[in-house]
Amino acid sequence: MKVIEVKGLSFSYVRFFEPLIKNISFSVEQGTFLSIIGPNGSGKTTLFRLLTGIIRPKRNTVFVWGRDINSYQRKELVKYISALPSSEIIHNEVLRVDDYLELARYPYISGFGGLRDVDYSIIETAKKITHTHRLGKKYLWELSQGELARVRIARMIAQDSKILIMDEPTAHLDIDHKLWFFGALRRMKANGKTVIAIIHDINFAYKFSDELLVLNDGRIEFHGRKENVDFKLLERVFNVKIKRVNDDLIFEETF
Amino acid sequence: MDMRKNWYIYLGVLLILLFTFSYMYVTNFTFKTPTGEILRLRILRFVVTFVAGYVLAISGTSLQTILQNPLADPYILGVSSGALLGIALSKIAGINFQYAFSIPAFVFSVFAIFFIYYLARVKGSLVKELLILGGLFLNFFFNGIVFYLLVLKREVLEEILYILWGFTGVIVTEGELPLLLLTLFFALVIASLPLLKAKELDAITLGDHEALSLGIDVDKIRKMIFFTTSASTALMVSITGAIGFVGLMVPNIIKKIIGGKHAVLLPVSGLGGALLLLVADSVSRAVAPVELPLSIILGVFAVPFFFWIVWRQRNEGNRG
Repeated sequence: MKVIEVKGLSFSYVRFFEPLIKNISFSVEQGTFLSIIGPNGSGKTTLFRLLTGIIRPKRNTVFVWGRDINSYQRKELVKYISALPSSEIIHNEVLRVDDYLELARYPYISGFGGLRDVDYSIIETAKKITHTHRLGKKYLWELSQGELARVRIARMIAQDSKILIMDEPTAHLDIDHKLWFFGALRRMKANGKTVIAIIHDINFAYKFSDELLVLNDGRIEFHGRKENVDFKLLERVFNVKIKRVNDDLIFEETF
Repeated sequence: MDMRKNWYIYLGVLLILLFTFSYMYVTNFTFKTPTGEILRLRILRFVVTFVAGYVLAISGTSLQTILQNPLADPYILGVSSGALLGIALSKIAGINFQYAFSIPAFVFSVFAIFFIYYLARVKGSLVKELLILGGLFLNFFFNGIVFYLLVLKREVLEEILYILWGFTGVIVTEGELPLLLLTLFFALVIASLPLLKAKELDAITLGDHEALSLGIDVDKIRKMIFFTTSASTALMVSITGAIGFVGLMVPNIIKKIIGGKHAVLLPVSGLGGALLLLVADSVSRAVAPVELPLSIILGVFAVPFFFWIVWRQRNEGNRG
């Protein structure tokens, strides 16, 4: 089943300027791990915002679970899509980790109701999976980058959405956390979730995902199983030379 | 010790201060309860001052959250001066019924807040500097028109001078009293509406994108806050005139003491604002042979406060 479908999507922040996303179309099947890669300024983050409804795309260009993304209420959409924007919450002085994780259950509670027992047990499970149960009483600004990343994964797990879409989730992580993170994503995929992630590190993207989507200058250069990717195309888009050893890629500069 | 865990102690201290001060205020620091007409006037002035402080502080708190800017407040963003322009225009037009002023006041204050918001929104995110600069210039613009109108029609000048700078010693006839109380009641209720959205406001402190990812309809909440703050501010300005700095100072101090969770922060800020304005009003009656407008007193308080904010932000840079 196509959980996300994009049809002829274009976007620019300022009208009459050259669009950042240029008439792209693709679709993602349920249970896929898709990595979006591309050089700086290729439109990855803009595409992330459009896919998650953080910016509203034009009508009938982005479909979630077969319905136009604009037809969802925000609260309803989050039950389908759990979005992880690149972190801006690091300096928050207001919320503790527990407050933040309780907000993850916001779509499931009615107007004035509080959290139910089932919500708390889901949050507990999420904390156990991400090893964040000791952080509950800390304020968000007190966390290290690695801890914050784990707390945000816990938030995604607690949201229990069908599709996870992330913007460079591993940008600030040390290598051990990075490996743990990709492992966690694969386990979530095994549980029937669809994962779409913008990954800066091509090597990690290649190693851990099922499909690649190569974005360059607002256009899709390649989308398909990673086995089918043409290395000549990657070399051209990223301006490097690439050697492949088993499942690892080795990069050399071209000049 | 984490100060924020003990917020109820601070709330208790605040309430005791508020009650003591309220009594002192009504007795005018003589510990003799006045009687008759004087008591009636004092209580009325107490209520007006209390509601004005409450409304302004809550408006400041919710604006600071949804605009993610510690300097946001109805006075600085031009909401209050928008309301003033509405009032001045109605005065010039010859309307002499004070309680009708809140409608034009509301129109201009709503215009001000939306104007500032769309001005400062560049490529989907808010530019802090534009927000404050926009407010500054909107203030200049509105005040410029108000003064121009006043120069054209000098006989209104004396009447409106206190409205320009804030004054809570309203004089009402028996017949107007229900209207005044009704206006105060509506201002109080509208200003309290953000309390219903405390959880959503908490989420918005994480930034728009994160809040959207949590399922919060940020635009809807933002529009609601714009409406509640401009409506309650306009209602109060039509009674007391524009009072500055309460909405700026109180939320920042309260946040520092009890933390930023809105279910507690909003009501405590409201009470803190009421206390600050009562103190300012007492000072205004004590220091000069004539009563000083409140914005002048508060402006004097605000200068050291401003340095405190700057100093704090400078130290935050060191935290890495």
